[in-house]
Amino acid sequence: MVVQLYGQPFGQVPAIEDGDFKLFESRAIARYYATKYSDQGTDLLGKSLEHRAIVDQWSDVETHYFNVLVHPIVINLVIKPRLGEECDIGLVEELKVKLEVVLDVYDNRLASNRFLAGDEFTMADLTHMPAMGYLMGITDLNRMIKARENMNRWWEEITARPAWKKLMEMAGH
Amino acid sequence: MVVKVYGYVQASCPQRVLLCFLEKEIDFQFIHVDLDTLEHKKQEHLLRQPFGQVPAIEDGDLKLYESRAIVRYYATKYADQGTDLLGKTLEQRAIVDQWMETEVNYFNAVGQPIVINLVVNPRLGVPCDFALVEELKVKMEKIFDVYEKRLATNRYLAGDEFTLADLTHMPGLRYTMNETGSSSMVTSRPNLNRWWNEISARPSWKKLMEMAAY
Repeated sequence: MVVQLYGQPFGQVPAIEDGDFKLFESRAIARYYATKYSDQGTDLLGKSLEHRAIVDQWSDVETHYFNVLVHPIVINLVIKPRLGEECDIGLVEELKVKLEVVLDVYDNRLASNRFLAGDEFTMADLTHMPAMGYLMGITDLNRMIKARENMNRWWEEITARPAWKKLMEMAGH
Repeated sequence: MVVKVYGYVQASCPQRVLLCFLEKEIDFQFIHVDLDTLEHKKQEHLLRQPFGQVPAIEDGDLKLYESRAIVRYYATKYADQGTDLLGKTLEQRAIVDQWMETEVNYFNAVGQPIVINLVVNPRLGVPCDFALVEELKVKMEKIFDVYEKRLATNRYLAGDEFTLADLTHMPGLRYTMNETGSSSMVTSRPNLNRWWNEISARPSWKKLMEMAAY
């Protein structure tokens, strides 16, 4: 059954419709399909209940620590210039200071773990990739990643995945 | 040996975990982390939660943080005990997840900075950004309109049963109904009001409120 994208009540994207089933919120959609098709393709969820909890933990970290800083940075440095709006440089500088602290935690984690939730690529890594992609496209910010050996190794490994390359082709980057 | 919860009983994120344990009838040991003296930023706590926040749990070899990851784990592990918080089918669970995500990306995204400005900053002697609070309250009204519509045709957010989708909202909603002066946003919406009255009448919530001793 082909999955189509439809609107959602907060006026955001994405939303899916799969037969009679409608769903919004990207992480809920990802979790549903990763569970439904757990025997097909990459196992994104984690094998044991405890491993799945660690995957969830790092997926939530992406929302509450990483994206909360990267999103407004990207809005100010990338989106506002495109719209001819003024960038809040003071805010960006504040957020960058906080981001350095957060990235230290990631780098420490990735020093002893190949991927965020352990030995395997999971949704925890996947969920970081779109925002990381933006961050890496900003010279001043990608040096924060490049300066951290473990984060750099992790980013190079996960962006070498065929699914990521395919997504980048689709997005026209 | 029972699960240890490190946190602050009046803080919303630890409350999410405690409420889940009460609903699931899971025994726990609550260990106070003193936010007022910045205990959560000190080395001992950073070993449990490297971003310096609460809660964190220790359950034998399992160490976990992020309240929503914690409640999902325990709701799944103890699916057959206490209240069923997950949903029965894969599709129902996805709808629960959808509204749990909504709590994060809409309700909390707007509600948390309101609470920080109106409740936390005064305690820290940091000025409140009143203009921001007013902007955020306008956004919150629109978000509540979506919830109002949802709850017109659903007893709970994910359908007929109380689930994690409702539970994860409750600590934040308590602020809405109390310290932030926004209770009329709920009481003026009949379905939202009906839903809040019903879920806050649950014995587990009352027990949590006793523990928090406001």
